Amino acid sequence: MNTVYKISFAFILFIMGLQAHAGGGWPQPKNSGYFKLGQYGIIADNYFTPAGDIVDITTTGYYSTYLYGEYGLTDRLTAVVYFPFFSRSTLNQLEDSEGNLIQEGESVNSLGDTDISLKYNLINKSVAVSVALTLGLPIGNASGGTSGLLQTGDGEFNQMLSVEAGKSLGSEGKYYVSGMLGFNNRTEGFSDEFRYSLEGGAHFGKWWSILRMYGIKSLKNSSESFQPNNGIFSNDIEYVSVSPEVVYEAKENWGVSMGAGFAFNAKRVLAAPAFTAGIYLKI
Amino acid sequence: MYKKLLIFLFFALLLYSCIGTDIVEDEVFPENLQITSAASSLKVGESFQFRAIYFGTSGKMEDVNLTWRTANPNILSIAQSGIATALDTGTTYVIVSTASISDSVTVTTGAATVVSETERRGTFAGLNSYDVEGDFILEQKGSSLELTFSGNFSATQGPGLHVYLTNNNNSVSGGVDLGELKANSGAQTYEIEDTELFNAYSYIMIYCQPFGVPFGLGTFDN
Repeated sequence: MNTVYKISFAFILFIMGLQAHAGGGWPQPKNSGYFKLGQYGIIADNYFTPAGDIVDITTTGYYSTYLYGEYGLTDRLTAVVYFPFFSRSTLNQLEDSEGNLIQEGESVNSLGDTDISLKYNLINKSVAVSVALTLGLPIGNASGGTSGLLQTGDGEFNQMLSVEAGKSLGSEGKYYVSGMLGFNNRTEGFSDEFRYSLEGGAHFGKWWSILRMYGIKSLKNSSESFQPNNGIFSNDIEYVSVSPEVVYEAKENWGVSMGAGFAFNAKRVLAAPAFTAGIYLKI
Repeated sequence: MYKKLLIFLFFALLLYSCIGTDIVEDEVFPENLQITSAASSLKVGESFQFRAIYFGTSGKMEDVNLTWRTANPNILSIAQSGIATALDTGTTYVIVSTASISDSVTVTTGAATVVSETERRGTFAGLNSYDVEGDFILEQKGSSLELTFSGNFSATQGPGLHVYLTNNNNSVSGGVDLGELKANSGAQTYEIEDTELFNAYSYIMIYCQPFGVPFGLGTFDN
């Protein structure tokens, strides 16, 4: 029996919803950029089963410190990188009420799976529309810890094609809405995915308040003979998450952000809120 | 300002990413005393070793002082070691007890010795929306037991799945770990060295050990 298993990496996908507020359908102007140093974390002692029920699990955590950057190669072509340069996955120790050890805790630290994207702006008028190709590089640890149960990557190279659109509303762009539709082709026998998001933001003084919905629907097209190393945890993941976020513009070119992501209507993912905080810089 | 925020993020990471400790709450189980080795019939003049197992309120097997007796010592006598001898034809009970609980079996004395069941059968069903199905059999094989999953067995893939004997239908507290699940489908066998366990447990559980999630439960039919 294959003993290499992995913890769900679905929660990492929350990051994509949490970090992208500089994106939408708008490109970065040539030689301009948006860069963010962020911290992401989730601790969960509940789990969404394949049927969507919530069950108790031994507490597990995932933490990531990442760099996110968007840079305008031209006025229409923007390069995007998400690089979790420190990722940590943990599993709690188990003790009985008298302090006797039942199960050792463990952790793994490594680089995390990295996304690189090229986004091309098709329309930049009252509505901005872009298409993007995102490559998910499996440079994280796909079977960490003494048991091989912990991971900081899913071990597969995925490619996502997406269409993003955004529109500014109100005077001086005080409000905006944006959305995304994407198809994620996963390798190594994993099911492909349909992804979507809808986001709205409002500007008050130096503050942005943002509310984002992000969803993943599995196409459940992995082959019948597919025996995922990570069993229940990484294939056919589905969820809809809602992520409120606030951004404080300390100066014109930098600020801080804090947000949280809450999944519901989910399957095969950790059932706990995810939190993120970061500092961004515009050039 | 940059530095302060970076320092804050750094320490937030340190605090947030430590390995914590989960405390498994003690469960209180009803006491349980079971005669695990029995003869339904015993030939007059022959002896048979009766055995019993006691589970305390922790759900774990415990060594306690057992008292053996029969309802009719003129038909069947029994020593405190559990060895019973048939003296005359008839029907009586073998009774084992602790200070607080007892168990008994019916024994007929007569022309032949018949040892009670040497196999127990059952069927798996999924728990917590995981799919586990198939049949199993627990057999006495000389000085050990053999748990065999039939060819129709299948279980959802999962991390760190183990096979447990347990008396609880939603946890493995007080149970016996028979080792890692050998395969997610098809026939497979697990050897159990302690024959005392033959009648000791009511369920076979497929259990995700690292995350503490029951995947499936096999219930004995006998």
